[in-house]
Amino acid sequence: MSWLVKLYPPAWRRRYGRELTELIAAQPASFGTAIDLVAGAVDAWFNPQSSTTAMAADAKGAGTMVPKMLKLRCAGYGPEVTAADSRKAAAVTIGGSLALVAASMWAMAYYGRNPYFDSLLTMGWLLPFLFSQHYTTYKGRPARVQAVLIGVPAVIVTAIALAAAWINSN
Amino acid sequence: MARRDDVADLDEFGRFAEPALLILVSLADGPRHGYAITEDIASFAGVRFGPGSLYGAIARLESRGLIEALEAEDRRNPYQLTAVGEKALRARLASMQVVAKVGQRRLASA
Repeated sequence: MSWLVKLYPPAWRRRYGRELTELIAAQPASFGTAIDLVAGAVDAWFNPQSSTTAMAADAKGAGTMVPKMLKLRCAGYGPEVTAADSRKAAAVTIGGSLALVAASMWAMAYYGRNPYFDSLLTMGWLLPFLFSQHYTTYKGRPARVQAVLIGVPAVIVTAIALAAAWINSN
Repeated sequence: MARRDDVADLDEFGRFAEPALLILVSLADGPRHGYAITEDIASFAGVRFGPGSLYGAIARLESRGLIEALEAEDRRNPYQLTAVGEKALRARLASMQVVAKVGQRRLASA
């Protein structure tokens, strides 16, 4: 009946498996014991206890992983983004958006209202936001990779804006 | 009846509350390993818990710091009561004693 111990989670077995196996061996096998073990295994899966989870974490070297994960979390779940990087990203997003709004308003005033300028006014902020990721999400990645990761979405956004303007003008 | 905070721990054990209490009582007499706990409980309470129930309760007691494992002896891990466990056991027994006294008094006057 000791094979029923295999129904328990691995972390649980590492902590109590040997003791449980010895206890099973010391008792007469019965249907009731089998049911009790199955119920215990179900409970162990659904209600993991810290005495087993802590041991599993130690076994996997999480003693060092947890501080690393916390460090990454503080840094924004990815590259080490400093406060200065965040400020630069915000400046690119806000500054770029304002510049594009100003440009589109100037164009409208100079050339008259135009669906293409409307599109630029509406969706223009997405482009500076994409470029701001150079300082955050894609920080530290090779320039070519950044060019693709930022350039491709930028082209797609521009194409959508132009297509919307074209549909609007026809 | 309002429960004391230090008693609430065992109430959280659900179906493992009874084996947990009996394990604490067993360990109040000194450290024991799983098989010895089972035999001891059978002798003083007349109940023999299955291995799954026993270790489900042991895992909960150990996780909450009410018992702790000692160094393995002959491939067996004895457990002993901690100070927190002793406090919880005393509180639970005192609570049970109050209920028992009230019940006995009412039965006597019935």
